[in-house]
Amino acid sequence: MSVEPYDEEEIIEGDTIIRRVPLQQLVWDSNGDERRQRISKGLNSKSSRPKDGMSVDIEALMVNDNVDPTEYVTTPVFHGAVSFSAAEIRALDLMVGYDPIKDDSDLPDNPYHGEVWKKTEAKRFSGAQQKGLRDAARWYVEIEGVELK
Amino acid sequence: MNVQTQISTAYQDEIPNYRSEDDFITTITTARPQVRVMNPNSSWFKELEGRFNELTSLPRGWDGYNGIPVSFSCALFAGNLIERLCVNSLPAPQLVPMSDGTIRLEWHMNQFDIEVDVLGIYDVFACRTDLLSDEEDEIEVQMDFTELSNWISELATDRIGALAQVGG
Amino acid sequence: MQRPDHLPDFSNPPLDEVVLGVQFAPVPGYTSVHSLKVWELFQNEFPKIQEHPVLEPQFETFGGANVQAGPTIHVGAPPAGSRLWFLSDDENHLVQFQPSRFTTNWRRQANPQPYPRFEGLSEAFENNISKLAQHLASEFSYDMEINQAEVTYVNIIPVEEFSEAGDWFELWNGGEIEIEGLSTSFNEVIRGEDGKPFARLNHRIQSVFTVDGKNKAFSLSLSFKGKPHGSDVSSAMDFLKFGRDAIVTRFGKITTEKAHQHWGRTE
Repeated sequence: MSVEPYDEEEIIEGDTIIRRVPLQQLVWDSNGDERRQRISKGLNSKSSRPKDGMSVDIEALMVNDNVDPTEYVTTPVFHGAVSFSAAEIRALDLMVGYDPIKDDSDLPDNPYHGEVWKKTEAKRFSGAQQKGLRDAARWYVEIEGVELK
Repeated sequence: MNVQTQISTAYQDEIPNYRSEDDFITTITTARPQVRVMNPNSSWFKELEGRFNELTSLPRGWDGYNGIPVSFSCALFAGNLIERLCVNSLPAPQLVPMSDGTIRLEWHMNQFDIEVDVLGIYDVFACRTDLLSDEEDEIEVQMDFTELSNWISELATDRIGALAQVGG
Repeated sequence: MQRPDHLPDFSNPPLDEVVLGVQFAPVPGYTSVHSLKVWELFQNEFPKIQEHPVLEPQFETFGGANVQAGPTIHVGAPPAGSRLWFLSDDENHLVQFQPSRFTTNWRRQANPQPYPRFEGLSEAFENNISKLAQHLASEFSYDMEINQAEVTYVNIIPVEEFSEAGDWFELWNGGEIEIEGLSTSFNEVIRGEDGKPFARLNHRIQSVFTVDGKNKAFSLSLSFKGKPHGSDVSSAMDFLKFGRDAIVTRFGKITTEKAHQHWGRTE
């Protein structure tokens, strides 16, 4: 993370915020009538470093650059993605801002990278915040056979 | 195009001097297991060895962003936790890597969701949701896993049967 | 620092080795090229150097269905790098360093150097660990985060026959059994004032031989390990003092009156 946590004014309430879903964060749930695969609540976690947040992609920035967001967030092989609105994120007492990845020797540049931060330094989002993000999430690129929650 | 290079850093940052698996100092290479179990006691750990290997070897950026592999210390402490908590009649936890190199253990069964975040040595945060009562418990654990062990034991209880007997 | 009055004291205890140590979060960015500068911190007092394999992390946890049997799981390939021993000229004293541990040992040697007592050892340990912490802070911007501390006393009790165990240990009443060898080990969980466990006191009694196989002895090792209440040096020192108290008190209780007379117990 290179940016101090802040809330970006340019990101308006209706903006779509994308969170990629790696296969590593899918789990099997045996509660309910049938065993099913779903997204781990852990997808909606922040880094445990107090000032760090949760990585996202900002759809509006991609659209402005004529980049296809669906293709961008699944290249080369990232199987799925979910999205929330900026309003839904802020309703959970969280902030969302730009945090482009650039000049990292180990990672490709991602000028559309953003971050969701808590307003105060903490190791984790609260349980309510994690649940809130999970409940607000909708498929952006659906993974077949996998449920949101 | 969003190109990811395959760079495996595993836990090398934590134990300096360790050569990354990409380092071709010699043409003679042998497969090195990531997990060395000296005296395996628990069925859970035997079942999860491969998964630990996988998670400590994840490439940088595995999550699509700046994710790092599960750290050596988190994996080791999680392994210790698994050894202590193992109940042979129950399935092993599912291991979920977090982007910051920490690890989560999850069970979803018997109308419970148990999620245990191992953030580091002596730094564990656990949450249990009872889907029957909708109650949620959260505990922070450093060294004493007794309460967590009680949660695991309750995964084996016959809740639905007991509920039926009571007429619930 | 003065020796607490309540602790049993002996003019000639069978003490063979004392270990004081801490484990801390690995130093980020440390490589073996930095080891010379670490040695330079201690070189005047510890001019000799040896290399040994690194030790894996250890921690004390409690609860759960399964008793902790020791570090049985190791994640990751065997780590490279060394654990460096810096030894004094007489080799009674040594300091051990690896990027996640710092330990000091006093060992009885053939020379007549007296045991410097815990007070002397711990003062020297505190000075050395503080020196190391300052060095790591200035060279690596690293604040030492101590997550485990240990104090161990190893005693060697020469015997004619292992059947004498009952003469030395209150724990043992072997009667007329001809004992060929003895090995026993058990742990006690140590709880804080809040009732929560934070350490273990490990007891180990083993029959041993001298290298030439001619002389017999019992090795009695008492080891207090756990997590200090804080992650700084001061918390670690408090933990070590508490551990020393626990060990010496326990030593007095599990050894016999006859043994105490032999070792010159003072009241």
